[in-house]
Amino acid sequence: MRFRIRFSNQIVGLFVVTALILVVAFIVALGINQRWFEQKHEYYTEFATARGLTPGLAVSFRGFQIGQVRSVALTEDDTVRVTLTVSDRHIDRITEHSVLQLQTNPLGIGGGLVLHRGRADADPLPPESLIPAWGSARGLALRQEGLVEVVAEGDIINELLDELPVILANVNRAAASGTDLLEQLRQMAAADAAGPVPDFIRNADQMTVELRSLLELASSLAENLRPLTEELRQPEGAVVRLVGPELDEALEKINRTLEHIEALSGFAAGSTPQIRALLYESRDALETGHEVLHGIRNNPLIRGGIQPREAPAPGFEGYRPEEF
Amino acid sequence: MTVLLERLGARTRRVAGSFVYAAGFAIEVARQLVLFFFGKRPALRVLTLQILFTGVEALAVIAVLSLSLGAVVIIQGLSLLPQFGQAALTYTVLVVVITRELGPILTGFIVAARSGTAIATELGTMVVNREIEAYIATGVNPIAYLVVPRLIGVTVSVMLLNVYFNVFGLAGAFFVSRPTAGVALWEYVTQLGAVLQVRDLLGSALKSAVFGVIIALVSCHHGLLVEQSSTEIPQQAIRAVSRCFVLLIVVNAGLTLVYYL
Repeated sequence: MRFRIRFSNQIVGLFVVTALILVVAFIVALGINQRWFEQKHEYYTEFATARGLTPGLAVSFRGFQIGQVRSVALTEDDTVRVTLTVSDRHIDRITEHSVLQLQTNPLGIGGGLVLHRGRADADPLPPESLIPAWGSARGLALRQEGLVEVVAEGDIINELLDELPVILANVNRAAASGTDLLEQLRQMAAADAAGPVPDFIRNADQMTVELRSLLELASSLAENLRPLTEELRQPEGAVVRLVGPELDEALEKINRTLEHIEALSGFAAGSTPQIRALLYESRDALETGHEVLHGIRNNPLIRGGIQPREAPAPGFEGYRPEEF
Repeated sequence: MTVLLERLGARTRRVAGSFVYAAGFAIEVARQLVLFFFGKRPALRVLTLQILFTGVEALAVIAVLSLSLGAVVIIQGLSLLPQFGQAALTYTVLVVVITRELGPILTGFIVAARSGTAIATELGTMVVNREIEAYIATGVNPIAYLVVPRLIGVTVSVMLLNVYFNVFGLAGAFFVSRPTAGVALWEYVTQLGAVLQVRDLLGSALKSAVFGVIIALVSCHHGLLVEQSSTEIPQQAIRAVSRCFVLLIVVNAGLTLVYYL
């Protein structure tokens, strides 16, 4: 007989017992981990809505779970009563002036109730007591009085959303104060009121009227200045635009004269050899005439003959060599 | 048209008849099951062997499968979920996949594929060999002696294999998360214990028990449906397995729906 068949009872027994031991170990580990046998204390809180609140939701303090939500119920006065349990180990962290903040995740997962306990000198809060919600009137008052140790644990959006009621309350209070102030000013500015402040307000009214007329005058001046400014913004100035045509005409005439001069200069430059040759020839003719006259004067027949002539030094060197 | 109606009527009668037969079979099995617990247990040896064949011999396959599956789930979770800032959900996913869903259904599939065919084939062979008639002739109730021990054995085996599947699956996840993510054993157990609830274990046990009952009943039913020929045996075995798979999937969906209601 095969070993497995022969000892089937033992093998099956071991198989079953091992599985049962594993199951028991699982359950014991769960019990220890989840503290099934630990004494729990019950508290409750009230919210305006049950959105994000579910039984089993974790109650945490500085990131550690200290309890969980046991039930969520709608009361007859339309508030949401949330019953929660806190383990015995953390009961001393529930003090007077503690508040509970609901933190939700934008993805709809995670989140939970976060405990912000009262200041260190606050007394422990007995079980079955109310822990005010973060956004409730009581919770708001406790926070504004500085009785709560607020520890930021959520993301920035949640923190802003949580602070929104406080901000709105402050804005509301400021608006109410402004309304009261305006009402008091209105009463003081009434026609039958007397005193320095009403006089000042009435004078201020007269000053306002005068200031308005001054502003209208300044406005008309500004209207006049606008086109002038536009003119000044043009790239060519007013002087240029006033004398522009005459100046152009004069410049045109000067240009034409210069062209004539240039043409004349060119002509003169082109005729220089001829003029020079003519001058040479004229000078030679004059010297010849002078020699003739000198010869005539010194004619031996007449007087003593003709004197030898000295070659004159050239006063101007031509463009071409003399041999050419 | 008349022929069509005749065929439709005959088909309906066959289905209704088989359904009635199956219901009667289940009722008789339930009756004999009660008698098994409160009377003498001549079939205790059969029960032991059934647990041996169905449970112990399938343990190796279950261990390998669950170890691999746990490793894959934890790798996917550790690589994907931290990108959304939800690394803590890794353990929730692990519990949902291993304990609630895949543990019972995969165990059921493996047992149906291994033991379902074996049971159907064995009983079919006994029918063909006239062994059933011999039991009846000698005054032994074949339901009490053959079906009830198999029903209990398969159900217990599936439940125990489901426990092993959970243990090996969660261990496989730890074996992978330890070197890859540096998760310490105590941290792993603490995180897992924070998300694992008793109702998860109870739901998983309930599923596996129901699956075991389905596998045993369907396999025994189809095994005993064999009438004369040995060629019917593989046909009924195949039908038994395919019907087991369909029923397991449908019942799993129904039980999951009930769990979340």
